[in-house]
Amino acid sequence: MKGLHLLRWSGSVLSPRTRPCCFIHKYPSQYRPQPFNILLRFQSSAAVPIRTISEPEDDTEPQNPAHYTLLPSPPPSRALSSARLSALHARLVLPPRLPLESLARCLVDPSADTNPNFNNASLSILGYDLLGYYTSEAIVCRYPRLPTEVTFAAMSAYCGSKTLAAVTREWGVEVAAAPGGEVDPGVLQCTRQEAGNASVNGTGTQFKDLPKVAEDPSTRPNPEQQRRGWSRGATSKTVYDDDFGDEIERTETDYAERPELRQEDAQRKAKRGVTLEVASAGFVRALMGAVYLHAGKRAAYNFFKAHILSRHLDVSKLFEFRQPTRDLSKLCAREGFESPVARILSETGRKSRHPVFVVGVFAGKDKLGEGSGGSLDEARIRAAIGALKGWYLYSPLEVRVPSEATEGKPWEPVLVDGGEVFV
Amino acid sequence: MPVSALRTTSTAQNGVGAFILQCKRLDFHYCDKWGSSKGMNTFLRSPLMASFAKAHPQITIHISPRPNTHPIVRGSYINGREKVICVRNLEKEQILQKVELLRDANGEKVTRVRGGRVVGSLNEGVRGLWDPFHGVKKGRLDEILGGMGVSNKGV
Amino acid sequence: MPISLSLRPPSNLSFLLPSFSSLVPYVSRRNESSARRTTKRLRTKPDPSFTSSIPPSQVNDHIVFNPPSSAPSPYHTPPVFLPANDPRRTLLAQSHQHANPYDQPDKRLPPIVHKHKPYEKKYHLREKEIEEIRRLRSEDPYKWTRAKLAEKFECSQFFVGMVAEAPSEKKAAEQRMIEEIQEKWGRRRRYAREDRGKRRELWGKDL
Repeated sequence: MKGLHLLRWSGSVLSPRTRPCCFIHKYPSQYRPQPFNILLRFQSSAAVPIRTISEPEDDTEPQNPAHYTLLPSPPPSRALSSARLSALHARLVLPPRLPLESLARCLVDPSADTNPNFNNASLSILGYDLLGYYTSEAIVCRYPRLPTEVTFAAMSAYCGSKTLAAVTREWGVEVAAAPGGEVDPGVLQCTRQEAGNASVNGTGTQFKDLPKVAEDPSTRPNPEQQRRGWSRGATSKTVYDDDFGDEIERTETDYAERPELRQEDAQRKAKRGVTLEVASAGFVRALMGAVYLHAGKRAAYNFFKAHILSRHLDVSKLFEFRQPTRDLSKLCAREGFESPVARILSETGRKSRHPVFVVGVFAGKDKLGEGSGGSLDEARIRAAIGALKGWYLYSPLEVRVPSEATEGKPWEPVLVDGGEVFV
Repeated sequence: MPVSALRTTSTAQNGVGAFILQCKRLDFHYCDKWGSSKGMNTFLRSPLMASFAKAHPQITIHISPRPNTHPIVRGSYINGREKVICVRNLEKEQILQKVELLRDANGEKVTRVRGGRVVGSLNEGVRGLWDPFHGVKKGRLDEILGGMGVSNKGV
Repeated sequence: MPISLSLRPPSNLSFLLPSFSSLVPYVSRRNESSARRTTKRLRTKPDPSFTSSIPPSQVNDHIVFNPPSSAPSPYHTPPVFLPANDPRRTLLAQSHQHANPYDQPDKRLPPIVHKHKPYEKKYHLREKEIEEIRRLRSEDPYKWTRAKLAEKFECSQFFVGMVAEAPSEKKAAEQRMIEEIQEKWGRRRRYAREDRGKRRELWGKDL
């Protein structure tokens, strides 16, 4: 990522503008608006190849505002006149190089406008990768010994859909009741999924009672194992699944192999709409991608630090152990410590109704962890958990993440640990 | 599987990274006839209003007439609440004070914070939560330090 | 004058009242009852390292060692867990207050918590004995239980379970037996057992 000058080629990554927008007014002879009745294309969640403008050139933008209702999403030209949009731009202190039209495009979910030239699908893919990259390097470099499952949980706590939906809410972004060309471009445009308890066409049947069309399609090679209740290992999650250890939906390559899936998925998606969580997450990711494309890497990283990394997360609260004493003895055997022994540090009221025991876990003469509890068993297990957390939550003193590698100082490799304990 | 994870979300700390102004919209309502709107009408025409709007691009400002009533300023906040202040018979400088009050508010209901100096923090204190059963016991401290050949009195 | 003065002779409170205490007037008067409840409890001596036995010349350059009376934070990595090249390792070894108190030759470690009776692993069973265990187990799984086999071959029950698992019909029969017993439990016992399980889950989450 070192020497890329994104601004130079951002035009080829960002899909070409085919509806009128700001710079069309400057070069009216080069850009002619497309007729909006042929803009509806099949929905796709993937990046769009560069299209050449080969549409008929005799149509113009609707002069009558009533015609805006024919468009699936507000035309980019209206972005300049939206007070909400410029207020949002100022509230987030976005770089001035990010134009309002791009911000408006980030707010259009693919469920509102299926045309990939106007929705945020491509930007959101870029933003998803950037957020995943920056978050994962921050977590992995700061806590190099964190187990895979906990890393996934921390990733999802920083930039998962639920968190990004909360971010959208905290930015004061409102959601349009229904998308359309006449809606203010400063609100999030998406087609909402029907609530589970809503009535189907007024018949009284609830949506959640309808027979399901199909399970969520997945890119895993053996999706039926999941249905049979087989557990998915952490290793397979790193190979097959997304940044948060969740299954990935089908992508372009899958469609290339089995083209009939595309139609089916598109129909299912169009029928269902999206949840607000998915649409909000798409918006934040798209904005991250747009900041990267328009203002560059430094600005994107600052944006990430200001809005995502600055959030509070206690990583030590993410662990859930089943057999901590067994894990600890395996860990000590692997690392060459003496096998751990639980020793009573202090106690009170052993024969009373509420005794308290403080137990320390020792490897030889070194104390690894300490825990207290109402029974010796509880204190022993809590002490083992304390020791395991002490191991997993090790953090180097000076952390420099790989994305900062190009700035001045030579790169020093970060600590790579032997990994978590397997039993 | 030795360890599994609990899924949570991170908590926002407004101002730690970015600061998001909580006031997102201000509505100014005035009346052309009533005398109580005199100050409001002067304020809306004065450079005070223009400079306030210019200094706060993150707030959308709406000005609209509300005939035959007292003038009000209404602030809308990110948490979905609203705050309304009636500015009848106020001078323009006084109205600016009220507007700044609305700008600085976070939209929460005004509640009394009991207990004197209350400091809320998401992080645990450096010395942890006090517990009678942990730490070095009295007597054991001298023992430990004495064992190391160190006096704990004026090291 | 006040009863409180007679209760709190200044000579006893030298650590609470510095030398300029005579300049500070008593503003609050307490009754005997409230003085006992409120002020006597405050008469805890501060940590010895705070006391004024330090000569005035050294007041500003001595180390106050007062470790917190709290459970250790999971973010504080124990010194043994630090990687070899971590600078904290040498720093902690140098600073005496973090040095391991049990490292002294005359210090004894605290008593051990015994979950099971400790035993030495012998590693004495060979292929032949393991075959024998499997044969006995398959012949009569109801007679040759894990405990019996462990006793006979002088190994742990865990090892027996590892080399010769019980046949599935025996497992099912035992499961049925347990379920029958649980059927007879009343409400209170059932809830108590459920709550115990839930509390145990919370240990794993460190809650």
